[in-house]
Amino acid sequence: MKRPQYLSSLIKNPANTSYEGKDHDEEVLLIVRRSLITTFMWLIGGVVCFIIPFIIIPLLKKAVYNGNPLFDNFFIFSLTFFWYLSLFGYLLREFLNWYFEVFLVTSKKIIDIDRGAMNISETLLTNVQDVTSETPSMFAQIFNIGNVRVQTAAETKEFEFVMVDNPSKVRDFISDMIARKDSRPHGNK
Amino acid sequence: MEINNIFNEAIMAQTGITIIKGSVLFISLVYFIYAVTFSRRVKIMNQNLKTGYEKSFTKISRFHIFLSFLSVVFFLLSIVY
Repeated sequence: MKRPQYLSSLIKNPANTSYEGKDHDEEVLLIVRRSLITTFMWLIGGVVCFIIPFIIIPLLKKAVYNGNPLFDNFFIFSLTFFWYLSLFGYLLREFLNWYFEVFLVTSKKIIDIDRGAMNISETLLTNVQDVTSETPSMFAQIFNIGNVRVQTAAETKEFEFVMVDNPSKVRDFISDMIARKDSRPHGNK
Repeated sequence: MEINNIFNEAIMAQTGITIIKGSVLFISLVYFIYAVTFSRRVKIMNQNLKTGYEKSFTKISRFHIFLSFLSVVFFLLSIVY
């Protein structure tokens, strides 16, 4: 089964993708996100929070004083509604943080969009000096995820993309882009 | 006599429940403010990275605000009635 594009962590030539400040002759060639496996923790948290009301609500209904229930049904309903709303808000925030934390490779630049699109750094492909990929742990080796480091001659010395799918492929793609850029005659960007 | 009234168990239980309901109402109000600021943040995210899902994200965040407003109303009603 093919994964929908919004859930992919590695997209080549993405459709309808742009960023603030993109030039008209610039093309987004690659989008890299953290691997979906890294979303595992908050998904587990979500499942646990989903189950909690099934334990708490019967206890609240049982709470009585002088034979009368302490909390009326409407309050318990409101509390449950608020709980699931908060859970929805939590999952939405985590999903959007994952979705908007991307690393873009365009025909001109490398752009690192962090913290839910709040921190943005970019450098020209011509500034890139070195690209390294690493698969740091056994866990990462099993799922073929790892980090990609891009060393530059610009003010931001290093761009690091952690826990991306297929780090070697990303490194190779960036290296090829730089090689292609360097082989062009000067003045022809 | 009045002191006896204040420490009457039934009144204390009722006051405790009202305090709990009031606290939850306050939390839901704070959450509503968070939902509004989060929606603003989603707007900035959409501006910085355009992916073709801008409208969906905006709709979802507005729906989130609406639900949090509904939650405040529910808690208010549960205190009033």
